[in-house]
Amino acid sequence: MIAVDCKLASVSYLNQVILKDIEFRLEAGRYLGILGPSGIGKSTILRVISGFHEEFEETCSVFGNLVSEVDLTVLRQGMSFLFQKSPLLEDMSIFDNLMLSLFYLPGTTQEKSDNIMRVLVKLNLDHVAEHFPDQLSGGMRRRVVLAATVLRKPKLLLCDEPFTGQDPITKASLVNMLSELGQEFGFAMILVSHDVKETLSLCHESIVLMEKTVKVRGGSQDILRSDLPMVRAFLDGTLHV
Amino acid sequence: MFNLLRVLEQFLRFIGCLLLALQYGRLLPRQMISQLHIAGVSSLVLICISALFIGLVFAFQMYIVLEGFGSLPQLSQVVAFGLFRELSPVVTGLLVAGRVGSTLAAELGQMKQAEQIDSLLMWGINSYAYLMWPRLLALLIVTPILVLAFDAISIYAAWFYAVTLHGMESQIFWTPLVFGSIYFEVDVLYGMYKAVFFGGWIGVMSLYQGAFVERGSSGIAKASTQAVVLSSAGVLMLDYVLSQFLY
Repeated sequence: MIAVDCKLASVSYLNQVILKDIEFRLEAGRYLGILGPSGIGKSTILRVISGFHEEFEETCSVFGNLVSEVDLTVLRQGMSFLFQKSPLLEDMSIFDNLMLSLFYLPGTTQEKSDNIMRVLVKLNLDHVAEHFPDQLSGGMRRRVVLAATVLRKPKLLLCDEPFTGQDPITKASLVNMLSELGQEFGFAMILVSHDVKETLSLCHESIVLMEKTVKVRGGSQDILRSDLPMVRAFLDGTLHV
Repeated sequence: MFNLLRVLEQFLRFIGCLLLALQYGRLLPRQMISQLHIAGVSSLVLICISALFIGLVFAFQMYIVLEGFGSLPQLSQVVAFGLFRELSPVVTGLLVAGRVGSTLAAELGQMKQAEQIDSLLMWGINSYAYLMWPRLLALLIVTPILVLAFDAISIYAAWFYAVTLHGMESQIFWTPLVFGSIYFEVDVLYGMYKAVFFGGWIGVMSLYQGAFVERGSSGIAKASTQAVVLSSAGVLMLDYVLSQFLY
């Protein structure tokens, strides 16, 4: 089953083309990494898929529904978005934030509460359920947001720079968690990042965006073997002249 | 010109979304209580201090004028008339615009930039129903109550000036208010009606500025300033229009 099928002739922001000829297809249960330097428009692809960004040409479909045609509430029902920033509401405890994320989903309060505690235990966060977001470290907040996204049992998970600002140990634990949660819940995932090592280790397939378009695509070995100078410079972290 | 039309279209779309969100009308009590606290309780000290000194200074100025005409017994009437009808609702509106309007715009702008509003949308929660209506309702409820508080404190301040500082008999001060030409319905209640409109205007303008905040920290500063400027100007304009209709 195809989770996401994107054929984007162009994507614009404020009437300026920022991406062109972006084409990829993601099967259910598989992970796709989108790599590229900061500011190139990686996150905009996630915003197109989730219906937040409307300035694009051609088509993008999620589980057969065209993003430009389907009701956005319906589109987002089977989808979770791990945002780059921490979108937790500051005046609510972690538990209440998670409860809010399940507000419109079916189930009794008790069932939802049990579900939340099960996921919090799994992510080793059960001791902070009554804490407020500003009492948590950056890594913990990241894991709480991850809990909020998987609680909704999505079929598609969109992750925007989940490793940014995290120390190496937290990055490794996030990679493990995403991998384990994916196996348990069976969601497809699109991961946008400029952290090459983590993305390639986690994703079945990746694409590298450079100069507004896809320069390389394939498994981790295909990406790492690329001999395009600008891609090499990005992967190795060296200056490309 | 094109820019102005774009802003107008954006604003109308905002109002449309706000009205459409009424169908989700499932207000959470905790949200409402929290917003009533932010809009009301946290503004109360500012309102009380302002009312106290405006009452004192208004009584001081009127005392000088009326003393010259030998009409000091009318002091309370003149002061109450000016305060209840105009000064109290307008000054309260301006203070609420500055205190609450800027907070609303900054808070919502920050939420927008932190992707909290997008996150709510992903969770299937209408941000207009969940975030905006409780804030707007709180302002609609709280602003007239603040006007009433302003009325009470400012008239007692005037009483303090006339009776305690100048030895006027207390009965002479209160009698014209109780038996004279100050009518509760016309002078006090109409001031509160005005305040409902002021609260609504401040809420809508501030929420709009926050919802369409530009990127970066300067975006939040700009939204906050715009909210206060537009709210304050609107309060003054609305006051004139409403006064024409009400009196």
